[in-house]
Amino acid sequence: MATDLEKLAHNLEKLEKLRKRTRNAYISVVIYFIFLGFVFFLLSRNRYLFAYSHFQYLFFILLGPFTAEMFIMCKRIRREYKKLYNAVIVRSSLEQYFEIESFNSDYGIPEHDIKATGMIRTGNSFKADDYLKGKYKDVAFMQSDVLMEDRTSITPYIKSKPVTYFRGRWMIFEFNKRFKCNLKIYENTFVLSNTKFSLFSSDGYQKVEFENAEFNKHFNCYTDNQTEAFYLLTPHLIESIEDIRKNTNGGLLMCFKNNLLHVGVNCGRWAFEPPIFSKIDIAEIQVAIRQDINLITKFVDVLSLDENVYRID
Amino acid sequence: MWKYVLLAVLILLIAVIIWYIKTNNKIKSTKIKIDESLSGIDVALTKRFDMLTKLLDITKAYANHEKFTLIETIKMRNGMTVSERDEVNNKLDEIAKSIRVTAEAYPELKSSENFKQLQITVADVEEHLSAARRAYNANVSLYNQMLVRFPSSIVANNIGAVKADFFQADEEKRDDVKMDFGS
Repeated sequence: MATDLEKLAHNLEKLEKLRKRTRNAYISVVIYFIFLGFVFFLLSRNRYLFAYSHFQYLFFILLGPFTAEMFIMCKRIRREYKKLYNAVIVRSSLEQYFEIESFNSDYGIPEHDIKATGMIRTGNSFKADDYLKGKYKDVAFMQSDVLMEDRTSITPYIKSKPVTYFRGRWMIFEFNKRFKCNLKIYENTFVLSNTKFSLFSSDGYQKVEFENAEFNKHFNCYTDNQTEAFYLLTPHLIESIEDIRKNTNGGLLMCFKNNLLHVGVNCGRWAFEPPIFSKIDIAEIQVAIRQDINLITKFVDVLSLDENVYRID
Repeated sequence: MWKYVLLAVLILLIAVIIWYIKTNNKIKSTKIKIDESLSGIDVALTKRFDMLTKLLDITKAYANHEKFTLIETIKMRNGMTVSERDEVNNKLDEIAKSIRVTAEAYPELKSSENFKQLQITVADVEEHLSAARRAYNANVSLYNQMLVRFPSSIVANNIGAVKADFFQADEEKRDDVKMDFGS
């Protein structure tokens, strides 16, 4: 027992050291850029230097490798910190709720799995991490943090502001009924005001409305088989989705496809993120982790995904 | 001046014609959707009938309930009216209820693997039937609204569209036939 506590204390100490290193690396990058900007400003005031040479190009070429090295170093330290944080703190919390098959902070749900749902534009930049695969109440699931955005360049040097299509959590659950249709459900707040493109493709889907007026008011549903859509969304499930909507921050996306339920929560933040600028406070962190875990368990509990009375395998 | 008035009238006329065609098509496509969902009800009813017949065969080996003879009076055929389908559904409800009562009285029947498996299948078929009924009623609701709402009612009257009947499943009875999955 004492050795366990000693080991934990040792790990926490190591974690705190890594946190400080990460914080310092971040601060160094910021200071470096401020300094760089200041030097560039001073030099640009020297008309001779800028008028008769390509000094500005030389300036960037000389400092380019150093800048890149700084970014790589910063990323490496953060990655190391995140790995240890997941191993020491997050994993043990997850194990209290789930049977973990795989948990890795280096990758996430593959892009093609999300793209295959046809729910949302994935953009030209896709990032995912904190891949978690396991079982909760015998329901298989996987989840990861996902960022999908479009990054376009105006010139090789100037990049336009990225258009973010999705930033949040993506979860895939084994569904407790076998079904033959595709059903897409979008919360109507899920509209990107910063894009002129339509988010949803029509691809032969028809809009379907259910008996619940509140649900119809908050969600837009599209399916390729109306009767099967009604089979999936029973009145009870419709009410449960409404309950989830009320208790979830961020736009909700749901897709029933290939006997799986995909859930996207566009909450604008990623889960299981370690603190960088504040000291590691175990109690505070565990509350945050529990909230992140609750988002997974909520779908299984409220939608009763563990009740597989109709499934005949 | 007359040219502009004529042009405005022409544009208005074209707009009215386009609206008329669109509304006409929408009414007709909703009617097709009603027919499609009605065939969904037929498929589910037939499946329910078949499953209950199988369940009845097993149950009869243990006991014979007077309601079991109802199955012989059910005639599944194409082109049934909504009220005829209602009637078939109600009879199936009664049979399902009597099977459940019999199973309660004979624990060995209730615990039989075959019976339990069929019960699960029947419950799933019930869900499909309920879904088909809800989908049908949703389409009927949409269709009937178009028939009574202005201005689509003008088109509906012109093409002689008539209101469709809702599929009236007695909710109380449907609750009664909920299967018990306890062993």
